[in-house]
Amino acid sequence: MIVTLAVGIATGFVYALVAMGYSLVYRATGVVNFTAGSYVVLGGLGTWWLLNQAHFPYGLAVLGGLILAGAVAGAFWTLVVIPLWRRDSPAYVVLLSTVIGGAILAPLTELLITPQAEELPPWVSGFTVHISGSDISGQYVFVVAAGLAMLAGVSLLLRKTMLGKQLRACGASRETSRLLGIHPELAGGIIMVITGLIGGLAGALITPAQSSEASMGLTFGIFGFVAAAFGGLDSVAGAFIGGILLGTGQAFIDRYYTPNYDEVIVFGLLVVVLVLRPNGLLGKAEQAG
Amino acid sequence: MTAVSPLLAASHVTKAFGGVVAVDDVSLAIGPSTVHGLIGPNGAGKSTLISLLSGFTRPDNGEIRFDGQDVTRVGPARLARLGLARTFQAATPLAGLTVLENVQVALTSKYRSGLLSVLARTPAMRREAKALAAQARELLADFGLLTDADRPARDLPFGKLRYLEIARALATRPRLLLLDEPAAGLNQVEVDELAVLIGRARAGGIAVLLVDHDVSFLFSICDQVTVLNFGKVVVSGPAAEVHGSKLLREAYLGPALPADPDPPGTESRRPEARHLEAQ
Repeated sequence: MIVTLAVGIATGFVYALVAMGYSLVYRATGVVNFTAGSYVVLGGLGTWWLLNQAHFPYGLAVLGGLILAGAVAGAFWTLVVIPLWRRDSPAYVVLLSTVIGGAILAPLTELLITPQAEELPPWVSGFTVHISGSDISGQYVFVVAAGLAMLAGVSLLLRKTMLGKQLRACGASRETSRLLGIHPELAGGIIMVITGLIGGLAGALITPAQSSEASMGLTFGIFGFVAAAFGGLDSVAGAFIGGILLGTGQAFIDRYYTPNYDEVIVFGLLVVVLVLRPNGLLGKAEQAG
Repeated sequence: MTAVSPLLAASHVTKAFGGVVAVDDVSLAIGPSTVHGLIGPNGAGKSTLISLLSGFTRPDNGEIRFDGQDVTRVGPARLARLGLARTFQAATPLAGLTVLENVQVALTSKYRSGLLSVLARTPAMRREAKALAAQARELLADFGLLTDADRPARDLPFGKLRYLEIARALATRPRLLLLDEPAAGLNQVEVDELAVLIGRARAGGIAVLLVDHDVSFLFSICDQVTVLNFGKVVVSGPAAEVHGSKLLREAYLGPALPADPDPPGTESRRPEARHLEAQ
């Protein structure tokens, strides 16, 4: 029970961080970015490669994994989305490009980093937590702590800093923002790199607890998106809560009911939620004008 | 005026849509710190001209210079950065941002240090941020929007939304401000306030190109007025001269005045004509 909860919450935090990535990019650019899940895998496996193949110290390897994820996110933005914007591509083409981007990053990761499921050592070896008779890997504590810290950091960034205000301005209207002298392309690039870093950190955190492999990027991408829709794509906190609910729910269904139908049940619930609250749990209704 | 080189100079600008020549060989010069009015009946080409001058539409012919620089093929975003701001007839508040934030983002974007430097938070930048917040509040106070500072911008009532649009345009620190029918839909009190605010902008060294239907409002604050009709400049010059001009009346009422130029029912739609009749 406790272990299931811990696993569920940790997976949920990964979904939550991916969902937050969706929400951030959406709020700053209006783009639904299906590459978001890939950065989790890049962060996890990038760290693994640097640690085991390049023999970096663990801390530096984690840093390198994050930089890899952030750089790929920035490169995808610059090389794919900006040219599409320049050509006034319709939104569905941009969306498609991110789906394709996610689909291509998986085999590329297999080819260039590793085709297998890999595991990282725990961040602090021997750190376990005892709760009512169960031993839980201390890694889960880091996942939760880092997840909450990033949620707080991102919320502050969006609401309190000038950069955050400019990012939200770009999300509200690219054209108006341009007229006010803001560069939506640069804003989008910054937020993509931040999303890559957040995803990368999620990957470096979860890989010691549950192994990672290249193909998981798409799963994280889809579940992260579902979580974001669940909580509200335009609300970073909503997306985050959606992720935790989704991960926890999935873990309990897996453990106590059947692992075969967890997706059916979770997605079914999503439909119910969206019918009752079309903008997600915390999403705000779009107003006219 | 002749000694001062114009801030914005359009020469022989033409734009046709299909077979319709919306703007036909129009030349226009706006000097620094002047309020220049653009007036004409519906369909005279005012909106097309504004859209040409602000870079949203490219002319078929002619040249547009801003501060001596050829900007004929320059887009609206770059023109905005060069110092040409505009407002739209339909206000475009940034939804999801508060009233204060709408002005703040416009203020900061002028700091060419750009987005990236905002990530680093040095004490000097924090001071700058404080100064910016103060500036934003000052601008809001000018427009009577201070009490609404923390409201979501999209919740503002119509008149205040229009003010916010103008305040935000001023926040980009333009040298030329294009106002597209800023008085439309405002009540008389608001129109009077608007006139004061435009006068203040001019006193602050900003040139204004003002498009409006409200003839009395326009002539009350403009230094120069250009009258358009059928895409051509009918008359252009100092406001007082244009006001007395027969050509202005003709543009609105037609050269051959029928006994009753405004049949019942059209009156409410043509306040400008009534104003001219009253003279």
